[in-house]
Amino acid sequence: MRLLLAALLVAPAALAQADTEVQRVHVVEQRPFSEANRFELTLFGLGQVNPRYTMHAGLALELSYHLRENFALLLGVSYNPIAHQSALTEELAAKVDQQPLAANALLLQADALAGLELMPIYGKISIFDGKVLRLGLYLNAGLGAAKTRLQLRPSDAVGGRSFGDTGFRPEAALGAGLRIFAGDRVTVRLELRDRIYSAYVSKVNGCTAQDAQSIRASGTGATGLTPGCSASSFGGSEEEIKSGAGSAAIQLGDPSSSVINNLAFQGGVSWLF
Amino acid sequence: MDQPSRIFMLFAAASVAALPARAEDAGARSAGPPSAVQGKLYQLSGRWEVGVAFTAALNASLVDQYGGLLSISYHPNEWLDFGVDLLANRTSLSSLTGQIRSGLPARADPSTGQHNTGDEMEGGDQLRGALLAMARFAPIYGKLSLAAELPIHFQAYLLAGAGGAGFKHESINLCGAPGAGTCAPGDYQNASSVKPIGEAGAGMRFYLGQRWSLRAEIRGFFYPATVVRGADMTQPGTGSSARYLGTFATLALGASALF
Repeated sequence: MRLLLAALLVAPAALAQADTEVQRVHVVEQRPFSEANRFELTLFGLGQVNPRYTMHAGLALELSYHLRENFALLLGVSYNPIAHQSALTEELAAKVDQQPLAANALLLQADALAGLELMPIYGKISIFDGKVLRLGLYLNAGLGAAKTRLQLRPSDAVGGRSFGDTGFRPEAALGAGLRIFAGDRVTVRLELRDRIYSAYVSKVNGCTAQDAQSIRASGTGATGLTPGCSASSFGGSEEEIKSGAGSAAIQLGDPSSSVINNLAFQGGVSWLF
Repeated sequence: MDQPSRIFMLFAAASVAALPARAEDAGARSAGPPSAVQGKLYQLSGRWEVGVAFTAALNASLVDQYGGLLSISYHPNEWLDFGVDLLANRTSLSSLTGQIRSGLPARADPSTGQHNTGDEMEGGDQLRGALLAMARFAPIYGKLSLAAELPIHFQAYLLAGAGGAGFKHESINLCGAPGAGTCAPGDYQNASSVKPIGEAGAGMRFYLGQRWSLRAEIRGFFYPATVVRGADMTQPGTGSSARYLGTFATLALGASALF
């Protein structure tokens, strides 16, 4: 019994001593709010940062649902009101009578994506040692569809630029970004997103290369066109129709396919609710 | 069998009860109050910084540029530093330029012999080197936590500068040899010049310790560039000169030491 009592006396002391020696304390600051189980609606402005043959700028809207603090589902759409050939592409045509393959100059007019987001890294920033803001670094990936078009006339042509519809293409996207929490409802987001879409060009405005050649030669009087192909889709006047179809015939005459990486910087503001 | 005395039992009970309480006290003392973690761990005021970086041009379709950047600056306070940038590049024409040159139109109409006229393509300048006075403004200091155990302190900054740069200009499509024949690769019009240049950029510094840090920057360089308009393609030196704003975007990755 004395032995038991002695053990009772010594054991807690030994435990307490051991705890003190190896103790490692993590000071965990409680987060002022959490984004888990909340929706986030983001409006982005975006601009292409690898504009060799094409140039894109536009807006994107994204709805995310944060299943956990670091994991979210997302749905997004984007629209590029500025989607045309780059200055280099137009210069090639004007000065050295050359042009990139149609697939390389395929333009992304709009897209829709569904995907996932992972935010594994958290941090804090302070501005001039003042207000401390939380931030998170995230990665996202998505699949969807891209609405594409091809430029038919350059900016210096009579009537300005004109475009031909080349339909929808499958698209994937990979992104990496930074989310700065300006409060429990508002965040600022900066992101680099690579939109990858297939670019096989075989028809413009539903017309094949043969159709386009017929329209170039006969204008609205062209006959024997593929179903879905209409001469009037190339312009309003006979001159516009013939020049647009002529450009399409040239670009379709050399069949091309590619996978295009449209790398865009996106900056936006989100509302968490 | 001996029975423990009542006094001994009371002493033992008190000791058993008291020891965990002492252990809790010890633990509380070890943790102490949460320390203030908002202050800057790495201070810059009154220190010199020397940085080197590898650079690569990002948006130059017609030329390739890779090089090195040496930066020396002084930090009078935590948010600002002034100094000089010395840039040296290894430059060449890109493979796209080779493709363009292989498909250039004839310099004269083959059927009539009439000379063709045309404009020079923009984007043929190669930035060989530059010396700039530079200022950096760093209002944002932050900390990232990787796997909750590895805090990384960083600073985000904007920079701007101005100075002079040496350029090599090799025309993409204007031949330096007279005649209507195909231009040989070494015969395109070329010239060297020194021009004023400006830079603007943004970057991040990741601290490895009090002395060393890693830097990643995007810098945009801009300068007055010229091309020839309306040149007789068979006669070098013809046509008029037109100005435009030349630009290069450059990625710089490197390291800095603070003294």
